[in-house]
Amino acid sequence: MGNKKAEPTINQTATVATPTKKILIVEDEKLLADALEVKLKGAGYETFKAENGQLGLSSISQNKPDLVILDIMMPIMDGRQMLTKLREMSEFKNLPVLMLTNAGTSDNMHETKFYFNAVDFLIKSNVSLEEIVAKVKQLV
Amino acid sequence: MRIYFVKLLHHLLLYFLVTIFIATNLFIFELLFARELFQFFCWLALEVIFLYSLVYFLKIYFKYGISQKVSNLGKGKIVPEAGINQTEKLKYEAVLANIGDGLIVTDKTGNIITFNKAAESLLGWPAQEAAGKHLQDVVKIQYGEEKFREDAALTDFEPNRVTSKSAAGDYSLYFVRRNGTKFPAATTVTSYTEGDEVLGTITLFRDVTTEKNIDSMKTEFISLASHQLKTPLSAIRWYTEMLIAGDAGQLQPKQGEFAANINTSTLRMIDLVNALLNISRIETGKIIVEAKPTDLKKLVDTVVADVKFRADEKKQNLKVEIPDNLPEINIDQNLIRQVYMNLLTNGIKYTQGGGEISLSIAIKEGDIVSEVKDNGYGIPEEEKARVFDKFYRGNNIRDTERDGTGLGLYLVKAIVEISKGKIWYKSEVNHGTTFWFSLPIAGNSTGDR
Repeated sequence: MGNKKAEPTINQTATVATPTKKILIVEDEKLLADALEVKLKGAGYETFKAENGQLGLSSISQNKPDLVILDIMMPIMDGRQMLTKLREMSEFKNLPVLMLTNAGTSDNMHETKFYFNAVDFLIKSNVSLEEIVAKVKQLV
Repeated sequence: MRIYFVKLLHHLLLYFLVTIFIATNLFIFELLFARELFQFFCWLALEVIFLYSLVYFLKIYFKYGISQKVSNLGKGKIVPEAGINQTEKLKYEAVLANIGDGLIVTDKTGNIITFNKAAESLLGWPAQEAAGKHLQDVVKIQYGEEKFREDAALTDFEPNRVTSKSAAGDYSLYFVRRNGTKFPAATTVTSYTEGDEVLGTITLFRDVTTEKNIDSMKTEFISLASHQLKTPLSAIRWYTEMLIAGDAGQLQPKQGEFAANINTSTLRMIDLVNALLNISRIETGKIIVEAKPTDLKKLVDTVVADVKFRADEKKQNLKVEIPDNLPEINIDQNLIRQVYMNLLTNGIKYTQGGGEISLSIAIKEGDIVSEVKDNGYGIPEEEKARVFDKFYRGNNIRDTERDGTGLGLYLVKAIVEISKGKIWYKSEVNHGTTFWFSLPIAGNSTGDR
């Protein structure tokens, strides 16, 4: 965690030497995950994909991403359950998570942000890939 | 024909009786002189019988009149007038008591005079106990999920007019039973009158739990279907975007144009699905106001920036007048943004090219009042009552402006109302429409529904 915190400050000053930022996409819809991957890779990020919350958690432990893009409605373990578990792990208490879902409404957005400490909440169909990439750039 | 026959019969009978009376008297007179006492008493007895018959006949004849007796005879019932009322009264009472809907009749002071069986079982009040009590003490009503309101009563009707408290599809009215539980009700309240004088009220009501359940199933279906639609729509949107951006190689101009068309249609479809979702959320009470202190001018500027191109396309003049000293207002930005967005796009859409649309904001008595005015097609007089109805679209614009769902103003009204505001408008065909809506400066608190 100490290392993680030190990295960004170095990165901001020395862009050239920046190790590629890692983004984990937890999304069960393959088409959507693929599109996100194409765009994020195009923007210079290293991406990983997971099809549900359970795989997402193991990928986080393994790949130590800088940001997680998280869907809510998924089989086996949904986004909320995954986020709850993630926040129980001290190492990832403050790992930025961007919720990206179609199940969202302004009320559960509020709830999710509040209880699970997600950095933001986007509705898939209401945002373009361009806007998602812009948001990601803002966050990491 | 029958009437004439009966009349004739009566006249003959009368003539016969009178003749016999005269003849008998003459005969008795003779007998008196003959002094045959036994015969005299026999005839006297006969005379008494005849006289009695005559008097009885005349009594009926003059009391009720021949015509009434005839008409009653014609219907096969010769019963005294009081008797008719009694039978009819019992019949009406039986009918009213057994109507499937709850029925409560009050006198003009509002005290209950009739309380039928259905009302007993729906409200849990025995008729004997309810009778004589004030309607307000027996029938407690409640609107939506809000707390019971002491002043909400069925007495706010206008005399001489049927007041429908629950329109089709609106299940927000609840009746509270004696034990405090409640049920969704559909009801009509009417006053009954004699001449100009209001004699009391008639309340008819029924339990619409089943209808309400079906309606909420419909809403849930829309919500589910919309969510399921949004995933493929997101995929279409994103992949089209990637095509246009050249992520799969640069497109030929024509290919680019086609991809742009796909994109436009997809965005329209997403708007429609979002509108349906919003409606299902409003109707299930799931929409929650998430209020934040807001600079209204900034909010309006972003909306105007978004819709300006539409006005430019039609070479319309879009004017915005917002005073600089507007106080911050506590509102749900996403929702109120939608209100300005819908009113402005409507103004642009339903105004001919070269027309004028203006938006102005003013402060009036604790409210911030926004005005969206156009000089467009207007709303036909006969359709004015339906402007805020779900799926309503004006007859005069349906053919010229095919793009539209009839959900915009329905949503606008719902949002303004959950934000504690009011909305109203005036319109004249071919002269234009002006909408006003007010929002309390005091604003909303998060969690308002």
